[in-house]
Amino acid sequence: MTDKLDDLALLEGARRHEEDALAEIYLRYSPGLYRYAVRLLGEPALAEDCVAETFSRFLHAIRRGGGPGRFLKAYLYRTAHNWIVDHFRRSASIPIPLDLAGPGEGQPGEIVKARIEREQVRTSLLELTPDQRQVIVLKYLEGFTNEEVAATLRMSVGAVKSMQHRALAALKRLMQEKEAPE
Amino acid sequence: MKETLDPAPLIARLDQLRDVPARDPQAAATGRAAFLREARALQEAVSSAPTVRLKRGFGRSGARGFSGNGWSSAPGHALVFAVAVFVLLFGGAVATAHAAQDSLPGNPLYPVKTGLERAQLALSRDQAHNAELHLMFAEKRLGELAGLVEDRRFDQLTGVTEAFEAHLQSAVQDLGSIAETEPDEAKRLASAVTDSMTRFVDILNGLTPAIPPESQDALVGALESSRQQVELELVGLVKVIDPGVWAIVRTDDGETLQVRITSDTEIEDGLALDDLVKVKVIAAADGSLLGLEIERVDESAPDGDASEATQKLDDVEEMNEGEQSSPTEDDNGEDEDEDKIETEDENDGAGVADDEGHSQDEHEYEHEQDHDGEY
Repeated sequence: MTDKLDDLALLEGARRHEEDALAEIYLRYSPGLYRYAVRLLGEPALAEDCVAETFSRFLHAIRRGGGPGRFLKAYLYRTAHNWIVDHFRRSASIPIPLDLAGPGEGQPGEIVKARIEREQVRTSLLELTPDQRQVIVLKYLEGFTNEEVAATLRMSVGAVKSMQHRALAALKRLMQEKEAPE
Repeated sequence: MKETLDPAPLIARLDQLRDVPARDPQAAATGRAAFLREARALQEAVSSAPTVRLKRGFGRSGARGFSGNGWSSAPGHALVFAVAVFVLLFGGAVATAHAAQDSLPGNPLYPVKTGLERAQLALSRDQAHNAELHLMFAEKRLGELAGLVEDRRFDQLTGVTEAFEAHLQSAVQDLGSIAETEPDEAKRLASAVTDSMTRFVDILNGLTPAIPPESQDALVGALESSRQQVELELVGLVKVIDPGVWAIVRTDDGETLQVRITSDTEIEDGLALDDLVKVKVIAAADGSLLGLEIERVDESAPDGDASEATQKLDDVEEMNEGEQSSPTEDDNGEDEDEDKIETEDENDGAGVADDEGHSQDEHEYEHEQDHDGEY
């Protein structure tokens, strides 16, 4: 609730072009947006592009009197999500990703196995529909509440729960397909 | 028969993605600086943005932008048109119409804006007014181009540039028709058209650097259209022949016109003072006329330009002043306008980006969601 009130105050400041408010918005949300983007895009440089474009669109939107009404966080994640969806559509293929951080200790065999498993999860996630993917990432990786996911996706909480169930089921099926012996 | 789903193992697997590489502090600082720099630049641009510049001249929009998200499909053109006519005639939804003026393609109010324009054209009293309207709407499209560039919605530039070109072409065509019946009005309009085109070129050139190379093609046609020059034809008697300028007394109204002559001007051999000539000129932004071609009018032709023209000149001389050329009664051309503006409305449909820059078609989503319906 406090965050929401703060967000509203920040938004008002942003609409008045107050640099402090804009700087605070960037400070508050750019780290999370970066994590979100890098998880889905797999490339830090691309994730930085996504963050930059998200904030740029936000600036242009508020300048024209648009932008978020009440839910700043949801708006920014939605914008980033749209950028990522468009990026995948433009590039026509899901990128094979990089070596994201993760378990780096232990026997070499274990490290490799962990990395392979992680990539299976990630590529399965990328094969979900955009909305399903966003529900999963926001809910289970970004720690959004169902209400926040609903605000981000512009859905009812009930629809989010339903999509969450379908997304998990689809994810399970996709991972099983990847793990199945040839 | 639904399969029960235990989410715990899946969530545990998803946890493997929780850790991501730490963000490069340098990149984060650069990103923050760029964001604040852009914010400052935008604030400074508020009073000097291209959209503001466009409000001088023919532009007259002063409403605040509307950029909410709502309808996803444009209403039928006929309905929009009917609503627009109603609004125009009865002033019912003045606020809506006003708010629509600054809307961009993809905005729910954009069809209202273009519908109003079509209504204005349909209700236009004459061709001169039509040409002015087309010029004004071209200027509005130019303002929209600036808005789209500002919003980085480059995929939407093509539709707007096509509409821009169509309006310019229509203005020039109307001008050509008026020239035959209302030479004074045509001259005034030609000056306005060329003045606008000169500014359009400047503005389009100013926009180009902000557009990625792959999207710049969309502006090429608009630039070419803006660079086109307005050609007029006049018939009159040669009164002065100087190396750099000829004076022609126009047969329609007896006015003496100075026509600039350059090495590119094609002049028929053997022309002399008091010859009746047909002159093709370009009307420049400052109102001056640049000669393209000067040729003798065959005065022996029984029903040609010559006899008609000399008769007109005689009339003018006899009456000294006061005789006006007949006003045009032409009010057609509606179908042509409908076709041209149609391209704008087509731009309102699928594939438009919303406020968050999303250009995904909703149907695509539905289709994808149905894909795994077994759960």
